[in-house]
Amino acid sequence: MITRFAGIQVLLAATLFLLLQGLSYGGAAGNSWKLSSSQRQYIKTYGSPQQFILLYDLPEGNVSAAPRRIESWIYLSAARFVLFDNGFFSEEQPTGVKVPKLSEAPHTRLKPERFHSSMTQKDIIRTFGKPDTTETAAFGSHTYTILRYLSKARKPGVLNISLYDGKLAGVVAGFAIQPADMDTLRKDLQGRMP
Amino acid sequence: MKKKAGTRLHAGNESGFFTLIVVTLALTALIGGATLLSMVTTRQPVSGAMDRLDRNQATPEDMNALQNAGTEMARTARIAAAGGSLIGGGGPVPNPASPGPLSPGDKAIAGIIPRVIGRLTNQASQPALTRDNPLPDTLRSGQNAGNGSGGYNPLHDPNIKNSGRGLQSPGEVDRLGQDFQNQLPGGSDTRQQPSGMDGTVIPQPGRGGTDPAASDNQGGDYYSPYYPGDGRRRRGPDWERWATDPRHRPSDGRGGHEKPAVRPGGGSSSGSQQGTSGACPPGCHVKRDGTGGCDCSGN
Repeated sequence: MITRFAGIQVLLAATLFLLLQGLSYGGAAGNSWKLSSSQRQYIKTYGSPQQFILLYDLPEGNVSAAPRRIESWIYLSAARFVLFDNGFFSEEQPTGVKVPKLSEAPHTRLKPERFHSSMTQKDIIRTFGKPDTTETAAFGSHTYTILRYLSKARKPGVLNISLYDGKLAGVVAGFAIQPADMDTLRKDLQGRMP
Repeated sequence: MKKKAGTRLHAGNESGFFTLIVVTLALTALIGGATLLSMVTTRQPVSGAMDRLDRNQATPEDMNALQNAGTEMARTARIAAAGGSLIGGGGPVPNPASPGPLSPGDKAIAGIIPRVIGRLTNQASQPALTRDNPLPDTLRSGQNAGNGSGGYNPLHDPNIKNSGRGLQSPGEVDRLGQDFQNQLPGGSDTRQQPSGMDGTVIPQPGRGGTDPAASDNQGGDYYSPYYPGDGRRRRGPDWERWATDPRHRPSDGRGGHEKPAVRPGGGSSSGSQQGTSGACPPGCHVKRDGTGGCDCSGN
């Protein structure tokens, strides 16, 4: 009797294990961003980035292809920024500006790994709350949606999230580009804009 | 009666277990099937243009389509990187949550952002990386510091000349160490230990109070510290001459010698030692009182 009961327990445990395996496998499909070894090395050395820009390069005409993730981590206190391409270290550049007091500089408490390509607008609102503004712009046959969190006092801090046809296209955390900055930005990118 | 009720209860429990197992198995099969299905459906379809390009059969239309896709991608990347601020008409909005600027008017930081976006979009216009580029030195040294090797890195030793500049790799440090070994009498005699940087000779364990001559016979000698790379290798006192100096002979005639500490930077060559404590000038003789002085009174 005891043997039979133990057998049933083992069978149940094995079934539960298989079930959990199946669930974890299903959940791993693009639902989180795992930091690469070089990204972990940067966090170990300098901590989490104080500002970051993350963009997903969505291959045109290939909607089911895995989007390419390009990140720029900005370390204001260390006066450098780093680029990662799909988690691989690309380059490190000096910002040329030393920020003596980080507390006075805009920075974010968010971590880049919180964002992943399968995030939808609903997921974002569920995670960070209702944005201060939502803009929608037509871009050819596509639609751009920008969710702006503009209050430093709120949980996510200053955060801009761009969605391209409902898919996460970009995250700008720790700062927002202001009207005064636009001229500089336009001038800098003028030659490069297609 | 009691027994019958117990049996019925047991049978009910068993059927419950079996139902649970059947449901769990069904769920597992369902999830497994769904996972398999998602794997099949999310295969990357190859567009016709890419396919033809691979076969070197791309038409001008294909090339146009691919080029347009490229520029579209780059533009999308820039807009996304700028937080959507580059969309005509959309642009940034004043902060409705609180008065004052969003990023507290820090012009310096505002100057960084265009550069960052420039590099970011430049990266997007290039093929995706498939491996890390070489990490910067600052990060590599961080890796070394964190490997639990005890924390000492000769490349960062300020006591070593050119540390961190001339010595670029542990291999180079090894090579210098090998050079040092080779310059010692008797080749790579590991018993030879350079003394502290202040030039003080520390008696070696198991060799204290030994006759310098005997130690020479074993191929050993004491050396002042070796400074890699700067050619400042200096020999210490000439112990053979030191041992034969009558002033160093103990008056009781026991014959034991104890090596004195060498002064920092002493660098006394055997020549200079001869001038100060060597044999007496011609016509003089060493005093027999054990002081080691010269007695020239006899002349």
